[in-house]
This record gives sequence, C-alpha cells and structure tokens, in this order.
Amino acid sequence: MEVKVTYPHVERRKKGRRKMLQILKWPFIVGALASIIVNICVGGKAWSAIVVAGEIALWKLVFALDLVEYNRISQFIKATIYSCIILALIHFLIVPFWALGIISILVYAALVVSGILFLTDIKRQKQNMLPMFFFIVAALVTSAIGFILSDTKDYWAVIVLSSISVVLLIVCISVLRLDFLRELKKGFHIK
Amino acid sequence: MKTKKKNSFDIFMDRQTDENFEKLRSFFIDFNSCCLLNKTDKNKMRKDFENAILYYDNKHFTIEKILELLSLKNLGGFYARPAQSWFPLDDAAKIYPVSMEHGVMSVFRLSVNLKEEVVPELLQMALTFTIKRFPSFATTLKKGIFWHYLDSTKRCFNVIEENDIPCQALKVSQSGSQSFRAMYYKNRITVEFFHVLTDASGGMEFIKALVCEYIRLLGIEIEDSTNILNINDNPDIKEFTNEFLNVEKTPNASGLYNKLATQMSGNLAKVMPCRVLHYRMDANHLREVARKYGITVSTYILCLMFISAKFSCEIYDGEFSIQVPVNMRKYYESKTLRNFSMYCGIRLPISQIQKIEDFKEEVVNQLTIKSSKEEMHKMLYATKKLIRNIRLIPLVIKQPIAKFLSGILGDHAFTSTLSNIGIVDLPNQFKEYIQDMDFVLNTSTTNRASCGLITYNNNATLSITKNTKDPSFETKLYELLTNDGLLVEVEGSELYGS
Repeated sequence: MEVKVTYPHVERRKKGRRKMLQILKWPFIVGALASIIVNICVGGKAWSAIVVAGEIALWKLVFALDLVEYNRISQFIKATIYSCIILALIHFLIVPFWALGIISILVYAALVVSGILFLTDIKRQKQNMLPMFFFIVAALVTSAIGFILSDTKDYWAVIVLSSISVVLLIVCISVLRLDFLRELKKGFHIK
Repeated sequence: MKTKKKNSFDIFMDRQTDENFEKLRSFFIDFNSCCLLNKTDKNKMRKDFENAILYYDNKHFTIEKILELLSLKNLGGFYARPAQSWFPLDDAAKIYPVSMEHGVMSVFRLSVNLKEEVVPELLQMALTFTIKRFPSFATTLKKGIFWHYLDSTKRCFNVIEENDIPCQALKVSQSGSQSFRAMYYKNRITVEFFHVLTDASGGMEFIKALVCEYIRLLGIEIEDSTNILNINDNPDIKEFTNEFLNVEKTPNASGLYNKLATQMSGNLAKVMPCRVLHYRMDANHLREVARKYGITVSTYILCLMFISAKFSCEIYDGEFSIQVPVNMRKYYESKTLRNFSMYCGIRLPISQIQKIEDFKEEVVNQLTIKSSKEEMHKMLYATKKLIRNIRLIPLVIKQPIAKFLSGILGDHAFTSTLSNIGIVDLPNQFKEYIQDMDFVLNTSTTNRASCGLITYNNNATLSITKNTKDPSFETKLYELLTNDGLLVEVEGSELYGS
C-alpha cells in the first residue's frame, strides 16, 4: 500500500503538557503520601496538611493550568485563595500567630488588585467578571462571619474587608450596568 | 527626519489614478466605521483587506471589481457591534469540556480539496465574511457555576497555514480564544472544530459556506447556491436551538450505557493521532460492491472494519463494538447547527467475525434496530433526563465524575467508530473547483483507529485516524477493499512521532 503524503511534515513534537503532567503527578502523590505517613508515625501536629495544601496549590497554579477560563483575574484570585488557605492551616494546625491579620491584609490587597486588573481592561475583562464576583461575595460572607465570631478589637479587619468588597461591587455594577446582570445570568445558567 | 518606510500597499496606492485612489481611500474610511474591534484586531483586518487587494491587483482585477468583491456589506455590522450574545451548550456538547484534558480534546476535521492551490489572502477574507453568519461559532468557551457556555467574541478570526498534526487540541483557555481552526495547505481548505460548537452536519454547513464565499472571492460568479447558507442573511434563531430540549418524554429512556468492548492490540502511540490516511474510491463502484453483498455502503464498510479489527487483535474471545453516530436531523426536522447526533454501538463477538457473508445479516439487523427512530428517541431522552437531573450540581463536583464516566461510557465502550456523513450536496458548478472532501474523526484515548466516510463528486473518501503505529488495521482494510475489485488511492500523513 503506497501512501501519497499530502500533509505537511511535522518536526518531532516535544512531549506535551499532558505527558509532563502524567510523569510529574507521581512525585507529587508520593510526596503527599509520604508526608502524611511520616506525620502519622511521628505524631504531633498535623503539619502534613500544610505540605498537601502546598502541593495542591503548586500543582494547580504552576502545572495543571485551567483549560477554560485561564485569565489574569481568575489566576490571581486562585493564588490568593490558596495562600489564605495555607496561612489559615498554619495558624490553626501548627502555631497560632498573626495569620488572620495577614490573611485580611492579603484579601484587601487582592480585592484592590483584582479591581485594578478588571478596570484597566474592561472590554475584555468583563467576560472574566465572575471569579471576581465570587471573590467579593466570599469576602462579604467572611466579613459577616468575622463580625459574629471575632472580638471587638478585630472589628477593624471586618469593617475594612466589607467596605472594600462593597465598594468594588458597586464599582462593578455601575461600570457594567446591564452587562453585570448578563454576566451573572451566564454564570448561573442551568439550561 | 525619519520617513516611514513604504510597504507594498503604500506603493500600490501611489501608482493609482486620482479616481481610484479616492475610491480606495473612501473604502477604508467606510471600513473604519464597519470595524470597531480593538486596535490590534482592526489593524489585522485592515491588513487582510490590503493583502487581498494586492492579490487582485496582481491578477489584474479592476479597482471596481476588487471593491465589489470585497464589499464592506459582507462585514454586515458584525464587527461594529459589541459582543452580547451567549449560548448555553447543547446537551450533547456538555460532556466535551468537562472531559477534556491537557492536549486531549474532541476535535474533528472537515477538509475540501480544491483543484487549484488555495489563495490564503482570499481564504482569510472568506472567513472574515463568513463567520458573522455563524454567531455560535464566533464564541469562546467559558465556565459557569453549573455548566460551561459559549460566550460571543468579536475579533479577527484567523486562517493559518497547516503545519501541525491533525485534530490537535485547541487552546480555548484564554478570553477571546476561538474554538475552531481554519487552515489551508496547498490545495486543501480545512476547518477543525471543537465538538462543543457543532457536530459534523453543522461543521459541514460552515465549511460549505466558507468555500462558497472563497470561490466567489476568486471572482467566479456563483450561479446557484442552493443548500448553502447565504452569509449575508440574518442567522436564524433555530440554528442555535438545543434540540434536546424539544425531545418528548418516553417511558423507556435508555441507551447511554454500554458494556466494555475489546480494543485492537497495537500499543497506543505517544503522539495521537499518529497517522491520518485517506482511501479514495469511486463512489458508484463502492455502492455496486456493497450492493453485490446486498447491503448499504455504511454496512459494507462496517463489516470490513470488523474483519480488519479482528486482524489487528490478539484477543480472540471478546466482543468488538463499533460506534456509529446517527444524525438526528434525519428523524426530527431541525435547522440547528449545534450538536444533534446520537450514536449506536454495533456489537459482535470476535469469534463470529469471519467472512462478510457470515455476519452481515447480524450487522444489518443491529444497525436497523439500534439506529431506529424509537431507539434514538430513547437515547435522546436519556441524555436530556441525565442533563436535567445533574443540572443543579456545581461544575466543580460534576467535572471529575464526568471525566471518569466519559472514559467508561465513551472510549472504552467501543473498539472503533464509523461516521458516514454521506453525499455532500453542493451546486454542480462547484465540481469545476472542488476535487473531493475529507472527514477526519477526533482521536480517542483508547481506540486504535476510527473511520470517517464522506462522498463528493462521485469520490468516496474513507479517512482513518490512527492511534497506534501497528499498520494491521489499515493494511487489512485496504486489502479487503482491493480484493473486492475497488481501486483505492491512498493519501495521508507521515507517521508522526516516529
């Protein structure tokens, strides 16, 4: 059977991301399992949870990138959330320190930065509004919970967080107007 | 003082008469009001227009003719308005984004082989003019809370020269990225579609419109364009319909779950597909051969695929199952350009597969029953019901489960696939310009080979997408076809990754 080649010659392809992920996932899995086993054997505080969370963050942010909705806002928010989770785990599982203060500051900064990322390229970024919207909502919910649970001395964090969230939400709504509702409709559709 | 270096279009403009210069100048002034894309896309589109004008000038077209061919009415306001529409995925498409992985995506390919080399400048203009008629194709895949959706995007959609392996995954992650790939290579125009957009029928409508526009831009007067969507008509809302929503209730919803099938034995290649082959045959002769066996062309090819699969397999006691997509448009009146196909699995024990005569009746019976309207209706309703039942589960939970299930319900349940688009209906005049067509199926992660059949201008092309370097399947298939007296011309790609 003689084949007439009618396709362009393709240089030997580098191993794709999929292959790389297939290979890389094993050191990650082994690392996570090893840390859990060692932690259980050695006993003490649950430091392996931080190792696992760190590995997941690294995996999701550096290696297994999002196949859909990979944009500057979503990635920035994702990185912020992972950082907050790791800080919270250190605070609750290892040593209580001023992590909650850092988390609050991190979230304020992230809200402001995501707002800037959004507003500086509004034409394109309006399609990417949803991750920011959820981040704002999460910040507002956290503020509400914080208000109920925290001491009076920590109210400043709650007030700043909720204020920034509300301001950003108002800015989004006033800039996008009808598009804001349209984006929400798309994001929440069940059709 | 630094002077701007003149490009070939500036030089072309310099040598125009005052009258022509004025015509071209006002053309580009009008262009500015018809194209309100961002600066990069607008400049790119303007450059495309300039390149097309230069091409025509080289071919000694008059300015009047050039401006008539490239008339701005073909932009139709599409590029002057902001993107506002969006499209929920149809029920069949919902599985594709949740089951995709890095480098693995359900991409199929339709090609038109012309009798002359493609003019890239004109193909680019043809795409620019055609895409507005297909708003659900001018979209970017986005992620909602419960389902993905297609978000309209306004940009200059690009035609590229083919330089990669067919049916590779598209990069759909970024804002504004397109879910199809329009390409050219020598005399071939190709469009590769991510299945979220459409099925083969919808893709065929798109490529027919694209090629028709390309032929018009060559300066050929199209006398009759019946069966081709007019690119300057308004899109019909029925073309975006998710037809699954209109499926009526049936008490026996079934057909989605299949037993696992035996796979052919060759090792899966590192690069997929590792080869694409096209067997070109005389369609009338092929029909005659099939008729000699008393079966249809699809059944005949199916039988040959079973025999070839057996020849390529070291397991002797399992069952082969070949997936046959069924176009629902033949049962339900529909104008949709979205996915509206189901499938059935023709299943045979390997031990039963000997000569065509021995098992053709069984294939015919299964095909008749399993692809009947009643069975397809059950499957359509099962799909609709499944989608409805899980619609309120957030995507973040659905995604890993769907990814796992798609492997079981999809790839592993079948040995191979045969999709027959049938005879492509184009105006007779096109026979002067179009040689034949190809239909290449998407690669799967387990099936070693799949086949797509398409017929145009009495040329039947059976395209084989290979995922194993083991040549047994295609060699046997070729041998069987030639043994039946068919003259088969084989074209295709090199063996990738070797």
